[in-house]
Amino acid sequence: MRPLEEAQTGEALRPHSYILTREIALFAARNLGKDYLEKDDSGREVAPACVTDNDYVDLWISDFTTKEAVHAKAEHHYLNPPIVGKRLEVTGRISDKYNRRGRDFLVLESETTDEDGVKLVESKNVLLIDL
Amino acid sequence: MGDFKPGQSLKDLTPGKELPSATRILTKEEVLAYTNRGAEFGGRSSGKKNIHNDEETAKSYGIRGVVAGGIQTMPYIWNLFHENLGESWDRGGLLSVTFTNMVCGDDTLVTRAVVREPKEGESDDRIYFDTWMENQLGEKVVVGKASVAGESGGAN
Repeated sequence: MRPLEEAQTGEALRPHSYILTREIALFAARNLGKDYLEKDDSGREVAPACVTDNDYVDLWISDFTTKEAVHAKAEHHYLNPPIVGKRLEVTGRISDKYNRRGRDFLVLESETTDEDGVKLVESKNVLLIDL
Repeated sequence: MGDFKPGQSLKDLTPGKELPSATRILTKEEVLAYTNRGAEFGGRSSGKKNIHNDEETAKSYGIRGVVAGGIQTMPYIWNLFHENLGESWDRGGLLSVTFTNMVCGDDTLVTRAVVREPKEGESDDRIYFDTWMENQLGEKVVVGKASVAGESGGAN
């Protein structure tokens, strides 16, 4: 484990995968006040796409330590709805580090793809890392 | 303003039109439940008290209550677009936000989105929105922009 502050621009992060269970999908839906999952045209249950918003955290949490980090910005390009029961793979890298007004920021770019190779979301997240 | 209805044609989304806003109270219990359950799913529960899971810790930092993570509140903006634009949003929606103020348990949150003109360098084939979330104090807690492809489709 290394301090997150030591991460280098361009550094690839170790891929992370997980199964999008019905329980996880419902957890995301309930946060939106829904006690059900929507279905796609084929009748498959889909999770709210925002269920993937936090995937980037799993890319660095197992390799880096940090005292605290504040989520400053987030950008998501939603490409396809996540199908419940699929295994999802998250890949990404540190795309930038910068100092603004005396504060250190880290930029992580990631994407989440399902087991069929369908890209679900592309994301860019900025963390303030020098609290 | 405020007269776009779900299912209407994207052509009706002209600059100045507002999606129907969404209001909800995010209770302290919901913040705690989300924080604790989310940490479990990700295997990220450290067991330590912090501003997200302990009211006393939050107050020791001068914060009025437990703080909701951006990951809990950003989906409310996602949902505003999902409910109003459906498939157009689900397959190609772009959302970019900055977290500008803390959201605390028992805050009342209003999520809004207004169509704006494309700026220089942006595609004429997409529909652009200014979007934000504000609390009961009138503070903007999340601000950002979003876009979807227009009916003719559109590059990002």
